[in-house]
Amino acid sequence: MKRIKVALAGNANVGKSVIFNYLTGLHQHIGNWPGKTVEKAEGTLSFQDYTIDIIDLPGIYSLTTFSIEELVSREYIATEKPDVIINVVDASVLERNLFFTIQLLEMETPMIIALNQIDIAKKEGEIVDHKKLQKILDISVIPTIATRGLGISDLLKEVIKVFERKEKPVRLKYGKEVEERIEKLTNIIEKIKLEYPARWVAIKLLENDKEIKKLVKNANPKIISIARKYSKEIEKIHSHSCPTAITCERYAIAEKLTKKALKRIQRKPTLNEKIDDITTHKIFGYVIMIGLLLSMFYLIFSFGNFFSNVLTEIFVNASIIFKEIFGSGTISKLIWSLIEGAVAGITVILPFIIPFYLILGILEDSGYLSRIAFLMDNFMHKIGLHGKAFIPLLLGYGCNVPACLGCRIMETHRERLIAIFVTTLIPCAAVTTVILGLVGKYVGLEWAILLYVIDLIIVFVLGKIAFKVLPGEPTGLIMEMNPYKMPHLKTLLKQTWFRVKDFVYIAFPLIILSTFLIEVLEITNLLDTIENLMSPVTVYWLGLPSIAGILLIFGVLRKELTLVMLAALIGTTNFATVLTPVQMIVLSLVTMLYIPCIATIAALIKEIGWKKAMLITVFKIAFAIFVGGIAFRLLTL
Amino acid sequence: MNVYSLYYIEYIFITLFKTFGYLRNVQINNEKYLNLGIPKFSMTTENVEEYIETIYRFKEKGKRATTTKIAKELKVSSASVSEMIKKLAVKGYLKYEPYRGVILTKKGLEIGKNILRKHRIVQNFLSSIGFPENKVHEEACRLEHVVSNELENIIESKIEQPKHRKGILSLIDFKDGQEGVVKSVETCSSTKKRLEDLGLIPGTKIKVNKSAPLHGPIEVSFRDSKLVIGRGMAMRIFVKLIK
Repeated sequence: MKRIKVALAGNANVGKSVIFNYLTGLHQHIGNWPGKTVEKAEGTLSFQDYTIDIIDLPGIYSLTTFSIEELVSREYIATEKPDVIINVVDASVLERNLFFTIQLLEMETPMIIALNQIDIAKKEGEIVDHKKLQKILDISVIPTIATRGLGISDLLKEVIKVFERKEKPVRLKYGKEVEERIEKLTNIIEKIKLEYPARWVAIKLLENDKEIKKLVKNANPKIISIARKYSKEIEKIHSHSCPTAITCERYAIAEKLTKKALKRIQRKPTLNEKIDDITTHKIFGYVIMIGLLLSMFYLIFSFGNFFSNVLTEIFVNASIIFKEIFGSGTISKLIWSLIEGAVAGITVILPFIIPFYLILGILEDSGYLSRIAFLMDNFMHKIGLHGKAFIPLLLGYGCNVPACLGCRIMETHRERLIAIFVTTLIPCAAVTTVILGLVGKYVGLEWAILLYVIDLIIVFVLGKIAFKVLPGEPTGLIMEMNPYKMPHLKTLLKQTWFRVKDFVYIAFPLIILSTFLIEVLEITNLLDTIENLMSPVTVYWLGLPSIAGILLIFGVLRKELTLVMLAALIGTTNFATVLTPVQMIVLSLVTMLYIPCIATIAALIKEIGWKKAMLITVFKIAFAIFVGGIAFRLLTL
Repeated sequence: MNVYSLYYIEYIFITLFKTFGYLRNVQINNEKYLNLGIPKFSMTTENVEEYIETIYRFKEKGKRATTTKIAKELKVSSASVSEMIKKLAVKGYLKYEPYRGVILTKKGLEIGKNILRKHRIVQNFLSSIGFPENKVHEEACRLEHVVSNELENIIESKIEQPKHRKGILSLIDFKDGQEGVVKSVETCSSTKKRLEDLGLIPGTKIKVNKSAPLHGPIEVSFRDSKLVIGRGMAMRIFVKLIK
């Protein structure tokens, strides 16, 4: 058995993951690239006498340093040296896809092209001659329609052919003036040893690539000044900056290729385009959006509630049986607390997360998410984000966990961080229970609404501050508007399955561990001690009864536990007997703001790492105490 | 609490708002704060120039400059605009005519033209050196009042100014359905790179499909693909109109 390492590379939205799923089936693993919050999908398959390891590189448009995804991809190709690259090319946007193909060819790895979505291209009046393309580029071009599985086995056969031949692709030539300088620079660079191909490094130097410059500078600083001289010359000839000139050259090649291989035919506006017009309409667009989002919420929460109740019922019975068998001694209590942690995860979180992932996947794959971003961009700018962040923010009102994970749709690290931070400030469904159950019921609905308004103001102000304070350049919205597509069911389901699995691995240990710890505290009577320790804050600064300390600790597990525990501790659900209206408002306010629940913390760690997750947690505790204290003083003036 | 501490709190709030970019053009009664020993809020030539520039922009677009429109543009109340306009009229920069709105006098026109030119040149300069794109306009608003004519000329000679050539518009000035050829992209360097990688390079044929309401982003199509671009960025993409 021979092993082949294959990498799938291409623009976003070209059907790359559909091909990946066809190739690997369930033999895949989705994780993160080491140290980065970029999804890494790997899989294995057997074909003929070969074991093929496939890696699905993130969807990107170029190999610069613009995004983490691009950096990850080019580092992978250079250092891991895949045997064959499958470049997935969208036939309906040929020119731009070929621009990326040209860059991949420069990495000098054996490569084939999967010419995908030829059906969509045909509908748009574009017919691509794959044989001609193959002839000009001198690499194999296999036409595919991934959503229907067409051409996939041809792709594999070709991979093996190319692997056995081990041919490096031919070099595409730039315009004369640029080409000359690239060649001269390449000759110099060949003398130093780098992981990247010399010609590629030469081009990157002319493109003023920061990372590559650093690499070369360490090896031989003289090369940098030579490169600078050349780029000045190119600038003079082209009258654009040198990086722009190189990009123009590449597009010129892509244009030429497209002209030769693509035939256009006249066509009428399709139904797809009409739907697009309506869903981005100045008035109907918003009406449709609100309708769709509301029904999406309704769907997720009615589905979630239903299953949550069914599962809870089952586990309540299980707990009774457990107690009958093992009694209610200390050890049995401790063991049960371990089980209870897992149960809480299954009954409370999974029923909401699974439908959420599914629906988000549908919105994303169909292309509707881009329309929402288009419509909401202006509004989101007011809190320092752009249109794409609207979805996670909205979902935060349901549950912060999927909302945090949903922030992945933001491209740059900076935008992702702001979006995640703002998302954790949104009161989730559990917090809503607390606000309505305490303030709404005993103080008045207008006060409950006021709390939401205050929260929105806080979101606005803190979002704006984060936008100003965080380092890095803010990026505006640049987003591709793809035609609507039917989501591919199998890909969608698999994607959801792997994401849920991934989440369970991270969140469940934390939930189980913390449930266990609190049980230990309860058994050892340490809860009273903690209550006393926290009383300076809870009693004197926030003006709450001392049991609030315990409530807030339980709230870390799940926010609604503050209310549940309060009822359990005072032995009644008439909260008016122990709390004054002011205390209710302050307690709700603090619960809303004070700490992300343990599952959200887990999501934070997964997305932005320990340090930043802790920073947000600590900040939120301090901020909640600060705001709560001020609210207490204002209300008792 | 005595009256001074109230003033002090007021002062802090105004400063805070100002740092967030609000109240930029509000005139503040400084006498109240004189006894606090804190820096004054200025209301000087800068403010006058800002008003004239705004009115000039309206004229350039062929729109009527009314008090409410100016107020909206400068993010101040209509009342303070009316007051300022009275003051400027007394100084002979402009006159107010019913139905025609605010009209700049010859003196006013000259200042307006001059300051807008400086604004654009400074803005261009800032973009070209990679100043964060979303702050360029604001920064240019501040610098335009202090840039000398000499410095202006030097900057201008060093930097390409394609948009002053005939028929070249910023992408946001395009109407839905209009087509053109890209002349230059003048956003900050990383955004520029991304747009170029997507195929938005000089010479590319581009069509504006639609824009989201309330000054939202713009959808354009080029090279068989559709792209949505935020308005702040679209402002700095210059295109020669062909249809």
